Amino acid sequence: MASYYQTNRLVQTNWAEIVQRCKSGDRHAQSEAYRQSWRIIYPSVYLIMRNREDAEDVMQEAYIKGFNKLADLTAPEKYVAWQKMICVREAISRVRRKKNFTILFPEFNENIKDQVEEKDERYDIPTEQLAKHIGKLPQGYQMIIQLHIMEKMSHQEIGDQLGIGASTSRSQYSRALTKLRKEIGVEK
Amino acid sequence: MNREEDILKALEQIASEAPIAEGHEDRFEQRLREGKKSKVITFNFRVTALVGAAAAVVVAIGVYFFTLKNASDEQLAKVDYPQEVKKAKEYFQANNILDTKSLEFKDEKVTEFLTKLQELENEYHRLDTLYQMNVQNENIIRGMMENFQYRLQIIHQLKSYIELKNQSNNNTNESSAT
Repeated sequence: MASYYQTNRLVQTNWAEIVQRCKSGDRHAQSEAYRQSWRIIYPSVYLIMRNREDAEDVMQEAYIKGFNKLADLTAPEKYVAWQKMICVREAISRVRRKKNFTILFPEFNENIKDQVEEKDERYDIPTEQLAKHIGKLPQGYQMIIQLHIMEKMSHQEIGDQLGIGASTSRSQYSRALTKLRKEIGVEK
Repeated sequence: MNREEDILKALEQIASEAPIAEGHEDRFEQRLREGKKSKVITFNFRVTALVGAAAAVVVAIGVYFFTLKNASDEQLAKVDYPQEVKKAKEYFQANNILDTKSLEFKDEKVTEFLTKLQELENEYHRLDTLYQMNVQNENIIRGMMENFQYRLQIIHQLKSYIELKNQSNNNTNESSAT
C-alpha cells in the first residue's frame, strides 16, 4: 500500500489550477502554493532581512498580499517569479521602514567619485570568503548588490523600490563594489 | 566568468544557508485560517468525547479498505469523496478532536501527542487540496484514510497515557493518605 506520505511525489505542480483556486480564496490551494514555492522565494527574502523571524514574517505577509492581487497575474505558470517579486518588494519596504536611509547607505552624503566599472575584474578568493566579505558590507550595499546581480533588477527598478533615482542606484551600486574591493583588499 | 558571476556565486552560497524556523508551513496555514497574523498555535482537545465515536470510525475505515480492495479505479473516480472518508471526516469535525480545555494536565508527552495530531490535521488539509485538484486518485484516498487511522492511533495512545497518569496519581494520593 502506498503511504500517503508518498502521495505528493505522484503529483506535479499544476500552477494554472492552483492559481485559479487561490483566486477564488481556497485556503488549501493557498497553502499548497506556499508549500510548493517558499524554497525558491525564502532565500532572497532572507538575504534582504538577514533575520529568520523577520524573513518568515515578511514572506508570509507578502504571500497573503499576493493572493489578494492574483487578478493582476496574467500568466499563472509564472506565479512563483511573480510572487517572489512581491516578497522581495515587501522585504525592501520593511527594511526601509525600520532603518534610516543613511544607516543603509552610510556613504550616501559623502562626496566620493564613482569608479569606472571594470566588468572583467575577478575576485581571486574562494567563494566562502567572498560571501563573508559581502556579509560585512552595510545592509543597503548588500541589498543593492543582491537586487542587481541576483534578482536581475535594473537600476530603474531598484531606484523605484528604494525611493531613489536610477542614477543614484547606479552610483550606490558602484560604491558598494568599491567598498567590497576594500574589504577584500584589492582596492588600488 | 567575471566579477558579477563571482558575486552571484557568493550570494547563492549565503542564500543556500538561509535558516528558517521549523513549523513555518504550519504557522502559515494557521495565518491563513485566522486571516491575520498568528504568533502562537493553540491546541484544543476533548479526550472524553473520543472513545465511543472512535469505534465507529474504525469500523468505517475497515469497511473502506474492504471496499477499496474490490473497487476498480473507474468506480472510485465516479464519487466525490468515498462515503467512508466523509464519515471519518465528519467524526473528526463533530468531536472537536483538538480541545485541550478538558485535559486535567498537560506535560511534555501530552504536548508531543497534540503536536503530532496537529501535524496530521495539517497534512490532511494538504491531501484534501490535492484531491480536489482533479487528482482524484486512489493513493490520495488511501492517504486520507491512513491519516485518519494514524490520528486514531495517537488518540488511543494519548488516552492510555492519561489513564496511566491518573492511576499513578490516585495511587500516590492513596498511599499518602494512609
